[in-house]
Amino acid sequence: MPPTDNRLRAEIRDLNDDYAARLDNFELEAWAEMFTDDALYVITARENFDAGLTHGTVWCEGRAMINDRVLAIRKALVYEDRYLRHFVSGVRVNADTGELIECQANFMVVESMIDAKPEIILLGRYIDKVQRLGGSLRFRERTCVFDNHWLPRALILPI
Amino acid sequence: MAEDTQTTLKKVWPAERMTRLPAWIYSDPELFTREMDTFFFGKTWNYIGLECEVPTPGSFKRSWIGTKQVLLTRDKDGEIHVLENRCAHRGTPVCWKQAGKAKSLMCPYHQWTYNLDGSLQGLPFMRGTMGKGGMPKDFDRKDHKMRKLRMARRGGVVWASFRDDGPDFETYCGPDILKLYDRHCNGKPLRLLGYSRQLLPINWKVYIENLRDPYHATILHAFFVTFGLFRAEVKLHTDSPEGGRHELASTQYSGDTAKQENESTKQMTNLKSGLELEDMSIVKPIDELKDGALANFNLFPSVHVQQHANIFSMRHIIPKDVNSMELAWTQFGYADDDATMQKARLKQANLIGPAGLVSIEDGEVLAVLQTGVNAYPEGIQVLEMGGKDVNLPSDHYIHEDLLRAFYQFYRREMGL
Repeated sequence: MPPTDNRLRAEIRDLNDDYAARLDNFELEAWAEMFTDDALYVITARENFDAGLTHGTVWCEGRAMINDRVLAIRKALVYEDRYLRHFVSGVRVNADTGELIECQANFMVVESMIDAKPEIILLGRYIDKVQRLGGSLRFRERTCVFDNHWLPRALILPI
Repeated sequence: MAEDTQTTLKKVWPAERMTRLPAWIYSDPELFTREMDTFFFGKTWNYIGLECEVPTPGSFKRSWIGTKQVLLTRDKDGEIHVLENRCAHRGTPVCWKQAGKAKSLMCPYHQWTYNLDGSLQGLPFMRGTMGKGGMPKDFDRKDHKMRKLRMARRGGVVWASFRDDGPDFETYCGPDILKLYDRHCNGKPLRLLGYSRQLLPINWKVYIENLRDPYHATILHAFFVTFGLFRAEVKLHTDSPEGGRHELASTQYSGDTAKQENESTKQMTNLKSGLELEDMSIVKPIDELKDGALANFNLFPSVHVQQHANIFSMRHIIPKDVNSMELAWTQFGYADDDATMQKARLKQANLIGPAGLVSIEDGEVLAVLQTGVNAYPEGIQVLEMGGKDVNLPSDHYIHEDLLRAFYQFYRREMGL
């Protein structure tokens, strides 16, 4: 393990907390703003990731595709109301080239719906490339690799 | 008050046999067991996987036929087999991994060890130890194998049947299904792109029906409508071949329409809601099969084979119990896809699967439907859209003829 820059690690931790808060608060447009214009946002099963398979359950290349998903959730898709709560822990900085920070974190996502006990719908890790743009940090790549064998009946909201 | 309760419910089909469905068929555990025997373990052919999932000698992959686990393997000579994942000794699942490579398969319980063709290689203490124990003298390894299932392969896809006395695969499919099958699974080597799996809290027939219900597609799946991508003027060809057993649906995007897509889309978008996608690439197919068609079919009972633009998927229907099923999506392309095509398939796949911009709603609405039919097993459903009998093939969306055709088939097979 290389010595970790504690300030950078704290910064990445804050970034993850902000990310989770925006999703938990259903601020989807603000969530989309946390990505760079050329960002890659992927949600995929560990089964795929470990085998080097490229398919993602969600596979967005570029802000336009990310924005389209937000628009679809807001204006088009038919789904039951639900609340998601993201728990992010184990933030690690793996590399820092100055421009690009490679980091990771664990996530647990709990979904609460009417007539149902809260359910852990996703468990896994974020594998990230974070870019410093102006004064702020943005995701250039966020791959959400979930350990679950199955997804629930539908994965509506971003992770 | 309900006319009938679960305990006193008379499980008979309503008198208007073609146009009414009794809700208890979705929640009756005994019926579920009979369905497994009649369909998944009966004289049918079931989807197992793609040959490219077991690319080299020693590759194995776990799969399912109904509630039974099976293995797809490629032995040391490169031959493909479908085995029950069950030790000949005590019935323990031999393979505990989803996929991998191995020289042999060893049951962890007593270390009975099998070759990838299912033959028994050996077992510990076969001759006992210190002159004691061991198998009887007449124990012959050849009599104790992992059961090998009857198998069919076509166009890079592997199928299996528990029954040796059913029709051959091609006869089972029939000419109409084979015509669509051979369009994209045409012998060109396939490339595995990956999986998405969802656990749906529904009876498996609810999903079988969803594929046979073009009526809902025009209403529920708002993504295409909202963004002005749905073309009501386009014809949909549907049929339910082999006596209602299978289902097929195909539609066209003509070369002209594809070229005019921007213009046409804009017009419809303005008409609908003024909303537009920022990135149109997920709805802009490359006409790789050169016929401008989108085609899907349900090869009953186990899989929905989907070609939507450049999305190739096998939607494997894996019933777990009367109230739940796994829907396992296997995404694939061709081995010789260039970088552009590979990316097109990855992007378009956002439309389908557990988070698919189109298919997302099926998981939602079907789960809700199941809570309704569970609570009201005495309920009677109405299937009258498009008429009261079966008029197929059809060339439009607004009908339930495929459902009536399916349940005619179902009642015949189940003796209901």
